[in-house]
Amino acid sequence: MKNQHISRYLRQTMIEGFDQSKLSDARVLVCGIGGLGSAVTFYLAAAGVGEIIMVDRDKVEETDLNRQILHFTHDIGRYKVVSAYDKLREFNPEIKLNPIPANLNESLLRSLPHPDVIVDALDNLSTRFILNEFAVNHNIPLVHAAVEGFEGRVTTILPHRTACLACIYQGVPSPRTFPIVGVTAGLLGVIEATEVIKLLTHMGQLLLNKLLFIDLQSWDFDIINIEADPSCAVCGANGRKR
Amino acid sequence: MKIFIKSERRFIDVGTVKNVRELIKRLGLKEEEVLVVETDSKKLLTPDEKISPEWRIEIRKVISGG
Repeated sequence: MKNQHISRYLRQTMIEGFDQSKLSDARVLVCGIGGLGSAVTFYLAAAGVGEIIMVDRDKVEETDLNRQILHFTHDIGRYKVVSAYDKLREFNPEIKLNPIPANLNESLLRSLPHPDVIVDALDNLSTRFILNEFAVNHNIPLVHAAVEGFEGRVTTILPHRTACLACIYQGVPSPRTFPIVGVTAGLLGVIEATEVIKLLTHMGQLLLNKLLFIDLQSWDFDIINIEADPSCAVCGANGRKR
Repeated sequence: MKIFIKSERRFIDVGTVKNVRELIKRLGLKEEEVLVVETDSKKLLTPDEKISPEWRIEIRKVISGG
């Protein structure tokens, strides 16, 4: 590691047992560069994750700007991944950034370089189910979060060791425009980034088989225990292996 | 049986229900819209799970924004 890198990451490598090379050697796929994805990618870039692949088909709209902190007013109309690339490139020029302005589907996921971790920063459950199935079938850890209003949920999925999204959620609710304050997406995105850093550096406890519920209005933080469903259509004994 | 609806912070009496699926139906909700939790064990329940009358149950809504 070069001296400049040692200096950039000095304050985290002062933590006993923290191995910076585990981050700099890692490739993380972040799906969705909106409210969650802005916070996730910013902190992964800060921490020095070696390569971040960013997938989002959307362009920045004015209504995104209350929460999607990587996108500025002058970015309206630009692809979110391109907008994010510009900020993160300047923030940490030492890491590799791979922006992909495309619809997330199985074909795209198969075409990407194999990531060490996938981050779910999406805004709907139907695409999350596609991502979940890909992660389970390719045995890739998946960090999941969802937000609405002042509330959020987070869990980390280790395929075939923990419950997957299909064990937790029973289907796709009707699509709708969800209300949200920026801080909710920011906080939950930071928690997702924390899970990724801990997972890659093998430090601390992960939210395995635990769904963290956060309500920022009441300050309720509680953990619900979840279990893999043996009859799960994705990760169960008769799951859809490809 | 009283069920706590977390998002509304109120209890609803649903009478006797056999399992989670029946409970969700009794509440007029859809399985994909809610998570059903056994309050004391903090355990997420699946639709097929039987409900014991002494359990305390709460309903939490599914959110999916990002």
